[in-house]
Amino acid sequence: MRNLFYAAVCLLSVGLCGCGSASSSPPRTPPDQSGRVTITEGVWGQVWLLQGNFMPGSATGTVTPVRRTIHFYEPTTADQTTSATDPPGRFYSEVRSRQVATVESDEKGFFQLNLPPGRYSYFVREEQGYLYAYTSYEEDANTPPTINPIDVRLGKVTKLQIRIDYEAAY
Amino acid sequence: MQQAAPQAPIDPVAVATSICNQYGAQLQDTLIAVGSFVATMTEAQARQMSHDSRVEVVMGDIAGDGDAVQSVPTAFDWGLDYIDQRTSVRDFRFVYQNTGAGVHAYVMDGGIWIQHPDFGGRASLDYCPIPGRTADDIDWNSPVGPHGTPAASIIGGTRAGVAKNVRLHSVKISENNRAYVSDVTRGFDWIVRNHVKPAVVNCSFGFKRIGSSWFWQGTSPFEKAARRVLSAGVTVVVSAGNENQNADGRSPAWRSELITVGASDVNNNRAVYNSSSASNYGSVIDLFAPGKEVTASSYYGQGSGRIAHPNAFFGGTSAAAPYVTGVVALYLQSNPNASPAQVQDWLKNNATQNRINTNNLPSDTTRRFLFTNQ
Repeated sequence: MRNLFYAAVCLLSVGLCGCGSASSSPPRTPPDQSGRVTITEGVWGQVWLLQGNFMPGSATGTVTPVRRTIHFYEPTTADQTTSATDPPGRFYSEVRSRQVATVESDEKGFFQLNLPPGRYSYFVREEQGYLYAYTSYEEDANTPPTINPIDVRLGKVTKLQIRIDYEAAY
Repeated sequence: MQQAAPQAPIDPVAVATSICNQYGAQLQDTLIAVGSFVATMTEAQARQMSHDSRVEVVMGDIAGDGDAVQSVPTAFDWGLDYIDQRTSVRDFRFVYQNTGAGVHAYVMDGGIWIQHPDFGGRASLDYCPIPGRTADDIDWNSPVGPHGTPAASIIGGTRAGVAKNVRLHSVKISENNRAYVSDVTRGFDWIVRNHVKPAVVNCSFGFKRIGSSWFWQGTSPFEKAARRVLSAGVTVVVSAGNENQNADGRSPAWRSELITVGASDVNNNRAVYNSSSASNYGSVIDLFAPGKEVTASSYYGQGSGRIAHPNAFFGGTSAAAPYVTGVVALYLQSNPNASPAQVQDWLKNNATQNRINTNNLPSDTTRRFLFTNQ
């Protein structure tokens, strides 16, 4: 409807016929899984695999819920890891901090995990066998940079939306 | 850049060449009058070379007075590191003279989270033509995450950005990575009427080119609007697109008067993202810029729970165009009256020629790579 309205505004003298879509379809958001959360303290989330083109106006990429194993470690800094690539990127062949827990997402990408309050770093096991970190690290003036940090607070369940987007272009 | 002084050269060029070959350095210049040579090399190579009896001293290159130097803190951050140097030997620094102060960058995108610390209060929410949305609706619910914020940070973030004092204006023309040509046209119209010079527009979006099968021939309304922006003396930088096709088929990328930017990776190849997505190519591309696994400022979460993130990965020609926009801001600071055509010529002439590899690049596509320094 918005395209037709626009065409009418700009091209009254030539009419509206032949007016096709001038926008790509937006990326389809997988269904929200928040209604499935049953824990009272820890982390719940969804794991989505992003592939293809997500440039505004041309977004034809896909967002797919996926099964993955998510690894939660004590807060981890870059010097506690070994990169799987040179130069370093988002894949790690080794994480040397203490692993706290792991959890599997299901076919809808949903997972939940009881975790005590605190800060953690999380990684996703990818099919290549490496651990994937969604972002490089957090950084501020007072604390050492932590890879993929997430905080769990007393009596709260933190939502963690994981986007695996190393095959996505924006 | 390293500098060394041969001890007792008989033939300075031959000696310098021999030394560089021995240690794997790339000889840049032989300075016969002063008995030195300039070469690029890794730190390890420099250390080895320093023990050579023919070499008096090896020292790292330093910026001259007036330059600012930003340490690029991580190995991830190759984008800033690459654009201030002619070669790909990383020095983990971004050296700049100008900061884009006094220049206005208009970011036509999904919106900027202007409170992000990396913008230092230099960003504002200026305009949003999308019905039912306001300029401060910043793609919070996008399934694919932030877009306008990381793009803007590459242009002018204090840490992630090229032009660290540019004024950033958000012109929100897309929502959740969906854009209408009507909103883009409105955005251009607003910029024509409200811009403050010197100014540059960043367009990290693109459409399938509207051809003669439509009811207008050739140039679409929003392309005409973009030309109006140019006529007003405002430079426009556009992404080439990520369809792995000739950018001649994408709009507005195909317009020769706009600055069309392709994306390259850390190995100087045209960026490939997956089996169906790669930087576009073709003769309409003016130059390449970093556009795969670069770092930008972004955020986690939504609403009051969002957390600023200074080091998120970002990629695509949506990342490449902002590097060029940032460099345009640096140029405009010194050349505030430069026309869009002059800016385009300068960018192409100043770029590092033949830096992009040919292995996945059609022969009609430029090999130019963005270069910052003037």
